[in-house]
Amino acid sequence: MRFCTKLVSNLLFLLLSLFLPLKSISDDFSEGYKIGDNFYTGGYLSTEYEKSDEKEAFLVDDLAFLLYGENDRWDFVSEFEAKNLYIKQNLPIKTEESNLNFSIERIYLTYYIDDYKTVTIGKFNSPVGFWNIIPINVLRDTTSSPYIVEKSFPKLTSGICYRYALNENFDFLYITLQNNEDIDSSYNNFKIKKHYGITLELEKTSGIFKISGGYFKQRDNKESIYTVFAFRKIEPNYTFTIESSLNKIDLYSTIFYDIYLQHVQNLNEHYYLIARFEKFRTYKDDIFTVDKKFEENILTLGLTYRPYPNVAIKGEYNRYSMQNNDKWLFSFSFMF
Amino acid sequence: MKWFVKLFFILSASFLYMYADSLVIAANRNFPVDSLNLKTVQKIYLDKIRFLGGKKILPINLPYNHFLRKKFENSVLKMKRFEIERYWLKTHYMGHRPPKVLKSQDAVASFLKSIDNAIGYLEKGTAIKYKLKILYEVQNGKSKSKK
Repeated sequence: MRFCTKLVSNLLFLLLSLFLPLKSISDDFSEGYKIGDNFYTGGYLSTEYEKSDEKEAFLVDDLAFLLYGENDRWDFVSEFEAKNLYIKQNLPIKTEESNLNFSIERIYLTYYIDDYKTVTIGKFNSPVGFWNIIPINVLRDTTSSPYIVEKSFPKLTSGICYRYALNENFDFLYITLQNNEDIDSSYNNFKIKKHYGITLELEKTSGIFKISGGYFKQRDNKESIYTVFAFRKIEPNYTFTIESSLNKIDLYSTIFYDIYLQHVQNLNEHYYLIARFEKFRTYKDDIFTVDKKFEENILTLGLTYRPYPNVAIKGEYNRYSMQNNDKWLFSFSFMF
Repeated sequence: MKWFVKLFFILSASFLYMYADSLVIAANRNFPVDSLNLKTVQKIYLDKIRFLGGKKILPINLPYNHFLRKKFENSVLKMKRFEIERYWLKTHYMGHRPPKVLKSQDAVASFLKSIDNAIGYLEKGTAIKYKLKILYEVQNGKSKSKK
């Protein structure tokens, strides 16, 4: 009963929040809902509108539910997600589709071995870079994601992750191992059957550094190696991020690369101005193209309005140097 | 006349601030370590560290609008309120929980007194009154590790 009351009151709060003057919320709102002594639930929703010369579409792109819990030495996290729940497209052709199939986005157990070591078993976000760790619309900076998270390394790993704190500053080393065909590959960017990776995360006064390297094998036996360097500096008024990758796929002689630089300026606690420049060389999956590689620069300018921490209203413009894909993106997302 | 009233309030506030009781991070006498540095306190309160000395640490918060919580967030976590709110939202996605909240300093002190592995922030006078172990001290916004 308490659960239902809180759910209804939060939904009412969300509706009212759009019409009420801004104010701070209590720390109770964003914590999800408690189930029993050790479990919590929550979720998020994201809607998106895209407009370009070639395309006009409205979509409810994510609806997900979280269930997680903890006891003395164990953490449990699960996420069930329906992607592209509803799509209505006017251009290039008129279509309307819906999908109510939920897939397992994440499901894992973490065991705290001692003060310095943890081991995670299940399906989890690969601990590479910053964007990939918090990839959902309401929490990320822009509606679009940089290309690097789609083309360089597997977003999700089904296997084991061993995390070891190297020193008293709690700089971490992550070792990731997968040797199976994914718990549920629906939303993974690569359909993999092997993934071995290592990540070093260092926190310095100048910022946080993450350096990763790895190997993965896809179900069609394509093998790839990658390395990713990421840096983030968080200041009271801005956050600056660089992520870059090099990767080599066995079929291609070229080494592909990607780098983006992003600056988020906190105009105040509700408004954020974002500028991102991304440059990459990647491959084309199009079998009719002789030259499989292509290079691209994307400039993204965006403004995000967060009336509450768990609500984001975003607008952005993406300008492409090569592809005819310049577009406006708008989204509304929230977490509960 | 107006400027005189303003000046009076500024001076009074400064005087009160200078002589306000310092904020300390305190724990039960059986807490597994004797002192903490600023980074470790931050990481415990942001759930980046969960175990110390082989024991699971239980950080305690004061209510959302409590003056000491605001002081703690500014001088120890060094984060603005909206940054903290966004941070806990991200951790909600990652399956982590914000610290448990107790309603007053006396409630926190009593809890610390009875639970070996809990830590909380209090005014120094309250920590001394309840005979708690002081792990870290912040005075007038300046932090110092307890030796």
